[in-house]
Amino acid sequence: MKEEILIKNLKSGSETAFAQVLKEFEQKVFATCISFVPNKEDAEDIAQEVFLEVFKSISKFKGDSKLSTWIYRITTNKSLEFIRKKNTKKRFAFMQTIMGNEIPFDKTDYFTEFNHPGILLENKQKSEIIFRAINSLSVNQRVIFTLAKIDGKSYQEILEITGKSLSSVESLMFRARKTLQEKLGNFYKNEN
Amino acid sequence: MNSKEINKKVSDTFSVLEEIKEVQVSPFFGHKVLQQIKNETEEEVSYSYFSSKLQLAAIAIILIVNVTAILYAFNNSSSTISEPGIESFANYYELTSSSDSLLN
Repeated sequence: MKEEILIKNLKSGSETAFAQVLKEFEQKVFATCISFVPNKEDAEDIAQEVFLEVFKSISKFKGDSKLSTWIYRITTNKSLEFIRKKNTKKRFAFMQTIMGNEIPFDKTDYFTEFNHPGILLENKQKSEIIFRAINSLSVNQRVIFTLAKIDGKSYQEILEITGKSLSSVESLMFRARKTLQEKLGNFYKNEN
Repeated sequence: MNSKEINKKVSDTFSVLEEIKEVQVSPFFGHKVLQQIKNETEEEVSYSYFSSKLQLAAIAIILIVNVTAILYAFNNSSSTISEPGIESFANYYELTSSSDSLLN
């Protein structure tokens, strides 16, 4: 009932209601954004876009899902949109990796400068490698893997956000992990 | 590097994901979002001042001015197309019967 009242107030343009949503979700939305885009400034820009979208589109929200699910869905889409726009050499890197070649270490081919304050310095190089590998996965695999393994969302939350079945999520997760193991294996093999 | 070592490296690479710490959003984030929404709302309000009635009135005025200008220009041009003007034009391009012609 509380959420219904909040949604009703949001739709009526209540600033208090929007401020409440902002306060409740700003950290969570940002956390999801930085899971997809490991750069603090970019992640904040995306998070800002998310809340603008929430503000503009709340009238279209039908209430067929929880408000949080709807917000996370917008967050995921905005993050993917950002990556798509910035990822100019994605196809080239993807082809390189499926041919068993090393993931290019050239920083210019990654869609953002790696700047994740939550990653220890000693882990930075390995983190860059795995984030690049994740970026070369298919969109569905990338979304499931990122939400589960980096953003720490439960399978139930992922089902609700993506609208996929449990078996689909499990299958995508399995394939994502397997693909990443292969890519990383090839990378380290070629590194020598 | 043998496969055992490679697998270890792969496993170590995966494990860095477990060690990522939470990053706090900037303290002014909320304020920036609210400010941006306020700016966008104000832009929408300023566009609404130029309402549809005003738009129609502006179009009507522009049409009237254009039609008036065209009519004025047309009326004036018909009085300025005079004999002396045509004659000097013809003389300049040697189109009069008194001018020499290659055919003569």
